[in-house]
Amino acid sequence: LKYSLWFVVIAIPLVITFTSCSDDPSSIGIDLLAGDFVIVSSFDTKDDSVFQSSSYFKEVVPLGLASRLLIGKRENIEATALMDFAFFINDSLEQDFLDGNITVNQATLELTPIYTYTDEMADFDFTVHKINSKWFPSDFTSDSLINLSYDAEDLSSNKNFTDSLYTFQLDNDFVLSWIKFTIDSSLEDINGIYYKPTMNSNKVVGFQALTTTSSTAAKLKIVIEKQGSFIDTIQPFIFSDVSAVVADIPVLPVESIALQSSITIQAKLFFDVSKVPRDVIINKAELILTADTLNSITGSSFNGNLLVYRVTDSSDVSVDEDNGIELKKDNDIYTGDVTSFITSWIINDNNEGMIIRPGSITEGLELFAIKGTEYPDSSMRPRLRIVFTSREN
Amino acid sequence: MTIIRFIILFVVLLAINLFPQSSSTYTRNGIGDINYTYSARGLGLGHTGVASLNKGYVELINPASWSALNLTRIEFSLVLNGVQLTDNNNSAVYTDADFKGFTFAFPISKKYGIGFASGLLPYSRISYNVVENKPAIAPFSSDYTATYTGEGGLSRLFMGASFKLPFNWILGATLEYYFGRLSYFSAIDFVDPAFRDGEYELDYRATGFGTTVGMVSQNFADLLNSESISNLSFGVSVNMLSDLDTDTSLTINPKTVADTIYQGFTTMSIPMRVTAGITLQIQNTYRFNLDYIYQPWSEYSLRGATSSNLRDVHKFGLAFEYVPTLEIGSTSWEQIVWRTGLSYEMTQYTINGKDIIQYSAFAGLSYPIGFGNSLDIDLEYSIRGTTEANLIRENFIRINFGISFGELWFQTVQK
Repeated sequence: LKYSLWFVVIAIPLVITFTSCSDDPSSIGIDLLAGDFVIVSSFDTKDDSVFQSSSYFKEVVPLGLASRLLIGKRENIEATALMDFAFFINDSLEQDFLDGNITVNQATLELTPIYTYTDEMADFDFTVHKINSKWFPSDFTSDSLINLSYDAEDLSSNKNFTDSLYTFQLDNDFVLSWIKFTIDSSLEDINGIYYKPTMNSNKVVGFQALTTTSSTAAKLKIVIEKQGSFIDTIQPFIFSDVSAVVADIPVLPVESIALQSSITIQAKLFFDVSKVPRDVIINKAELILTADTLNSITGSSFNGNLLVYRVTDSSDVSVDEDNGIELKKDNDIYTGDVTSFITSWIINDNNEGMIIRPGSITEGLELFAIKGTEYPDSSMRPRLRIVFTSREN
Repeated sequence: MTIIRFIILFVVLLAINLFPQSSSTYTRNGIGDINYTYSARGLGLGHTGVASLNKGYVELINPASWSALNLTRIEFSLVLNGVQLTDNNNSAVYTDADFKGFTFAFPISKKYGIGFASGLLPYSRISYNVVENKPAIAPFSSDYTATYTGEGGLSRLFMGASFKLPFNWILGATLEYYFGRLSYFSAIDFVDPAFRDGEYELDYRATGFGTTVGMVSQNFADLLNSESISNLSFGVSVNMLSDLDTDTSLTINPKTVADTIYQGFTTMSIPMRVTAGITLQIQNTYRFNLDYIYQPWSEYSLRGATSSNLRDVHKFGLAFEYVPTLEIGSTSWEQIVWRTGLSYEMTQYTINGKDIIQYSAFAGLSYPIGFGNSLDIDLEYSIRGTTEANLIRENFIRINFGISFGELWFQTVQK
């Protein structure tokens, strides 16, 4: 009985507490909190007079991880490509190859087109050359072409281009030499083939490149024969490929800035945000860009969005590569939430600007023209608008 | 075993804080509302009793009161707060539950009036939570809600003893360690989830030492030459704190934005409190207390700066307690101790040119549960403040539950 009474005693406040009802928090007494108030403010480069600048520049990047192998020529753009195959020859045949008992009857190379820049009906042709010097797709760029050693002889013939497949024959003797080199590395050095567009080409074609998921990358089919013994077809595996695109910086009206994939043209944007006080909470910061559609050039398929990065060191334009923010396009307007950038600038006082890149920097050759900070209509210039919160004291 | 169960239950109760608001934005000033007593009995007596010698419960109003302890006592206290806030336009009701503390005390020498006590008690409490809905400041912004919350307060860990002086005057003193965190949050929540919400948190973490020294006079009843007056005593106690070492910080949340943007170290100066009073007891059954409390909060300072919103406290309390005479065969009902009280307080708050006054009425009882144990339930109804000058009127109802366990410990029994 004693314990029961105690538990009743304990239960009373519990029950009262649980069954009590409180109103929702109200504004009663808020006027007595002067000094603690939070103040929401805004900053808009469209309305606030702040310094801003925009420019664009070229920074060559390796295209080895691109899913498109670009070959062709359009105006001042020349896209070349390098390709290498791995041959796996049966041990029992190696000596026959080296002794010349096996010959190559035919070597056919198949390329799958997946992209065109820009006119699909324009002329297109290329030559294929033996590469003599070493190259690696992870670091080969257009700047590397000057050091690339290749034979002048065109190894291709019997080209047949359709909408879904480009095929051509590779020189049989070259292919035989290539096989022998893979068996005996002391022989003549062969480091793959080099695709170079002809002068009359007026478009760039993107072929399926080697990726971890692709099954339609370049295929080489080789018919071999051992006289009186067998005729067979072997198919080496594509081992590596890379495009190298040579182009000048595009010339646009002075009030516009350019972004272009693969070449690679990027834009730098700077806003003076010193009017935003320190020790504030950046609730939202939005970057708005207006497309210059008249000067933009796009291919058959592309990612229409852009990416913006925070510059970490303006002296060499290095950026925070891991934290790019997408600017989505809607009705010729690109917008993106750059709250994290502005927060970093305000807190760390390290505003060194932003870099704008195409949404897919290594894919295609799209030229995105953006209205810059010198654009006559100020409402179409790059715009940064910020909502921030500060505390009264 | 039984005690352990109750301790566990009270810890559970401590964790329950469903409606964390028990006061108003008045508590933004200073260190918030002051807890003059912690026990249910102390509440029922209108926070009076500085001149009382308490053998049945433990209070920290006057350490000298512990000389009357005849049993080892363990006490807990829980309060349920209900407050109705009213301003010129709105009214709202809030409730919460709060652990008020515990004490442990035991007698050492009846001959020398030595009693020892220790415990953990709250000293002050900040408790407000207000919101304000605001429209978007720009077309590209969003509507938002600003929320201002204050919580925390100072607590004190104490230990002390009483000692009988010549002529039956009694002296008591404590050593107290003060600690606590005063937190003020200013938060913003946008209606549009695309906006990042944020919060400023201003913290003061204070620590320091203090003491309460008290004295209860001898019984002057004989001087009155009245057979009915059995006790007339005077008491006074002084509570003093050293300057509290105070770490301060202003933090922005979320942490992805930044963390602490300001950190510092300063001192908090809390003024001493003087409590003086008289206890008059008639026929050992009817007890009257009259107490006065003074605390010059105008001298409170933080970072060396006083507050224009604080003034000196003057509090007057009058209480009556009926303590039935124990007789063999008395029922529990006949053993109930009844009490009531009134108080008038010029609080420490003076805001918008208005002094904030509090009027209170108290009532309660102690229900005996076995030898030396009691359950105390006491009520307070208070009105504080005014709706004039854009201020707030608060109507408080507090229900204080206390449990006092009495056991014979540390004492030898002669056979």
